[in-house]
Amino acid sequence: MYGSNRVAKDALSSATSRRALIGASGAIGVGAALASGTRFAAAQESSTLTIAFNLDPSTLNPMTTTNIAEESVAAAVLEKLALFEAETLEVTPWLAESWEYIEPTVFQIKLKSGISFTNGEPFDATAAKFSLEAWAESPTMAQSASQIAGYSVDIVDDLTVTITTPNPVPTIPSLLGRYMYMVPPVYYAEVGPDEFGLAPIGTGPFIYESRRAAQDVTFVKNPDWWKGPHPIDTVVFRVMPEELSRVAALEAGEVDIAYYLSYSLASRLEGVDTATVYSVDGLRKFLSAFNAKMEGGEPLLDPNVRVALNHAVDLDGLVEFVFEGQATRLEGQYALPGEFGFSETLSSYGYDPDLARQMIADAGYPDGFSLTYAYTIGRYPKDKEVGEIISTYLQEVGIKVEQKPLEWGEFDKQRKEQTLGHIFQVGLLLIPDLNETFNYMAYGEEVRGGPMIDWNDDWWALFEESRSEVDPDKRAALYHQMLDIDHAEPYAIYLYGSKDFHAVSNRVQGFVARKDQALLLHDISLSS
Amino acid sequence: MSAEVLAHNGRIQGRKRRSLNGAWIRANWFTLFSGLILLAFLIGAAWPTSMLPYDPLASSLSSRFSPPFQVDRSGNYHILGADFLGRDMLSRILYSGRYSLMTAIGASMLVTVFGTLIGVLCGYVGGWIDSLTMRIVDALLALPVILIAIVLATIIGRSILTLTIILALTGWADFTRVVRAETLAISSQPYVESSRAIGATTFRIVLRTLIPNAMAVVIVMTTYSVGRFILLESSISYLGMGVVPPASSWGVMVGEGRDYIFDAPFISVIPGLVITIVVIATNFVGDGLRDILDPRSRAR
Amino acid sequence: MNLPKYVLQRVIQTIPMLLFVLVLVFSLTRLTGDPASLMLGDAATNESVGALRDQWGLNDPLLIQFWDYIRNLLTGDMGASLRYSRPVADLIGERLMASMVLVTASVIISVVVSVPLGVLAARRWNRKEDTLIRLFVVVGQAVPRFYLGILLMLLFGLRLRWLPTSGYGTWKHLLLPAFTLATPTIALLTRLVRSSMLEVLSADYIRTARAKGLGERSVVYRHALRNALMAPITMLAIQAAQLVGSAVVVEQVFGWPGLGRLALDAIYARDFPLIQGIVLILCLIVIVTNLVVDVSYGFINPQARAS
Repeated sequence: MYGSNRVAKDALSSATSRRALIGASGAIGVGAALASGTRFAAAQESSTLTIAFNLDPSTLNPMTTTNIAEESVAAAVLEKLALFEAETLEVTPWLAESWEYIEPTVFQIKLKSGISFTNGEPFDATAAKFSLEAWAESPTMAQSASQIAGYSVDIVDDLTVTITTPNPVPTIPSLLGRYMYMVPPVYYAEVGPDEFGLAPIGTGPFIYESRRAAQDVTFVKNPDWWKGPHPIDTVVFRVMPEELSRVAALEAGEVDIAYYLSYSLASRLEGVDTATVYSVDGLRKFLSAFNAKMEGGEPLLDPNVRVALNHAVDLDGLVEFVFEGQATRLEGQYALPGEFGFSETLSSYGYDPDLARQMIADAGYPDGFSLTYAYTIGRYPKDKEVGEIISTYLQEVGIKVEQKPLEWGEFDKQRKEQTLGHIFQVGLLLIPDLNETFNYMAYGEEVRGGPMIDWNDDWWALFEESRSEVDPDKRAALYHQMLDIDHAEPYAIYLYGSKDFHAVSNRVQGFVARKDQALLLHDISLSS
Repeated sequence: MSAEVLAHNGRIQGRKRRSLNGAWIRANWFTLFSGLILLAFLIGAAWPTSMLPYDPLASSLSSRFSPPFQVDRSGNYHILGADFLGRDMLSRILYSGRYSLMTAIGASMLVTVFGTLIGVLCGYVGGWIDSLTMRIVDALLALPVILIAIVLATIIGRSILTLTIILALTGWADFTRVVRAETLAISSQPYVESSRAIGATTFRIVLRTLIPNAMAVVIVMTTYSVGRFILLESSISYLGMGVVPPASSWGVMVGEGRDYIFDAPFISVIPGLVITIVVIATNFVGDGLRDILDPRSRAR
Repeated sequence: MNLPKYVLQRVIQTIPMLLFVLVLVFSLTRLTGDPASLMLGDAATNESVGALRDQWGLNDPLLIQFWDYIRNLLTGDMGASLRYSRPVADLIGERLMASMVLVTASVIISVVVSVPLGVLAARRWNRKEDTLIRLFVVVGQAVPRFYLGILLMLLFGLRLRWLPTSGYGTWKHLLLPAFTLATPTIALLTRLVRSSMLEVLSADYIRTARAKGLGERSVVYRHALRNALMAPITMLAIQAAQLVGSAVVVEQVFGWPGLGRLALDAIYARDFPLIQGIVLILCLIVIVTNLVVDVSYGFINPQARAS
């Protein structure tokens, strides 16, 4: 029943901003306000933020999902020890007060004091130890946890814990910033991970209130939040998987934030003066990975052929065509500006179909060759169009491309069976530290679906070295060397980084579009 | 007797008279017109790619979002506009029609052949074969068609051939049921009894008597199922599980254009209209054929 | 009266049918992919995928999995969803209500719109009204639901702002999806009412009624309509049961939290127990409705039972 009341509230609490919107084309807001006039007084006292969200979270336990959008809902309640700054992607302490490597293999974390979970359990070293360990036990987190395999957590005092690893692990802060949520140990142990996902309890700005399947999840203000009570009383995540619906709902004033849009629809809202469109260079980066080990993939074993294919694709054209310019071209490396390890010295290969044809001919294929090219449909924005256009580019340099457009489940199945194709589309959203990217690439055959080529021995040596290099500058230097090798012997056609769009009603203040696609409510407020 | 009732009766008698000539011709005129529309789309679908106004797969930056009936920035004229990749809409409609019509007509042919054979056999032979088949038919009819089609698409793939088979698999059950009922009706006719009496084999009766007599119903059902399959295919495509590039279909086009519905609504509105028009045309042809072939239901 | 025996016989007949459906869906879904690998995402290792499969019992032989499933089903346990880690029955329960609301509203709209239209068309046979209504019928049967849904949403939700664009909760949210879902049914029903009415109006007893000098209203509404509605209403009942499953497209367009969307998500996530559960429920709805229709038919008209 909240639907029409919500509209009423909006219409009344932000009369000026809404008037313009309503005035344009007949007043649903005013109509609804009149219809439910009795609720008028109650409506004005409390403030509600409504978010049109792109999915129905399968769980509210962020330890059992790898989906950043699902995590974002849970993040209304749960907090981590660290956060990535929205712009700089620097990891800064959040529930932690500070941290340092007291030895290369010992990472010490000091916790903020005086914080407790909303069920009364204290947030202390015991809770931190429990949470850090529970994280690695979740099967969902196995891959991420493998980056610090064999670690142990020890309590030093009430507000200090250490993480000890068999080998030096330089990326612990990034992992803290990305994955490890703090949960109340007694409650979590009592109900188990699945139940916890139904009714999470945390230290965050909001308290889980209720949920209606496939409709909405509602949170109310945590009056005792350690940063002081949040200015918004109620937050509602409305489940709206159809992008068109999210845009329409925002434009009609039914919601305050339309989360995660593509440019083609978001651009529509740029002309609406009651809403603002936020864009951000996202962290999801796309490539067409090579599988030279599949039957018929022999030409791809030659690094020159792989470079040639990079020359064959017009990245600027692709970005302009499919994304109306709203995507970031990768600069000859599988890294985005701002990521730890990004190399300033590398640049895009440049579109040169004649050179590509020449290089392929020189490699012994004057008449080109055939390969299969697999891509997903409907998993990422415009993935189908990207796949079609890249196929066209490859065909222009004399390669016979058999397209294999697949739904995500089919794609995943074939990837696991290694029957996907000689080239296949990958779009990864990892922590903004190349460590995780390299990890993914290096274990291509174990980590199902990574690229498969003959990896350069030097690359492996550098990779091994980088894994235990704690000094950031030295580690970055190693990464630059690895990226140089990846540029000369590419494991993929490096494509683009996505841009994400969110549309936000003008009555919302403090919204930040984050590179990691997460939605954090910390600084958001509503103007009256 | 009031004048109104008299008038009404007169009208009913008038209807009966007209149903033999006037209305019949009018219905045929509709059928004829619808047939022509269908024929036009079929010719368009069969039109060689090289002779289409533009290459339906070639994207062009300067033509993007060019509205219908306008010359775009590079001086090309797109009668139905160009889509978000600058592909000519008319060429794409005709090109997509190949796949929409091919899957729908192909699936109709499949269900016609199998539905007729199974239906006639069940209706005539009866016994356990009949009851077993009818139980399976009942079970299949209880299944949610779209969902099952999507599950099948994830298993056997989404080429033209597999999609045709999927449509047929989800559509043969009710076809079979109708043909069976028709066969039951025909079987009790005296001429079937008499041919059995003079010693005709089952095979001969099925082939020479039952199938020809059921043909009227079969042809009408086939025509209707073309329209039904076009709709089903478009729904599956809209949900993202239809034909895949480089193939396309009208349902795919509507789905693709959805993102641009505000700024360039024609990209999805036009293919949607085409689906509607073609399905209307097949339904009219079906109505017309039924009126011609099946006198019992004339002028309804 | 052997009505109970007839019902019992029909109920027993449905058991092998349901078993057939279960075998079909069970074996089909296992061919579609790996839920564990989908859940763990791009960078999961084979090891962790294997562990999760073990946890879900997906590494057991298929026959054993099926046997376990059936055994649990007999005790009323439909298993737990893999994606949501919750009982399938609970998930379906939450969504069934929304599906039922949508379908019921569609059925009501269908009747409210179709019967008057059908009667009007029959009474004004071959006149302007009839032609218009037939045009509506023709378009209504041919327009794809998702297309109509988008157009209605743009017109009433965005252009005119009369109704919310999507969501669930009030009658306002219900109107657009219910009408969109109902359109093909309205068309079919109008057509049936019209033809059935035409037939009845030319029947002997109506002529008799007219001859007796009864008013036209009384003839049409008392005598003709009652008899003409039998077949269309039967059709509607059977259609309505199938609407629950075919509402998926409409639910998708309007963000309606019904079973169809749950099923779609389950298929995409390869959530086997959930897919099986939903298909089972949807089939049961259809089968039970058909049974009720047949039985009430048999009750009204004993001859039907004999055949």
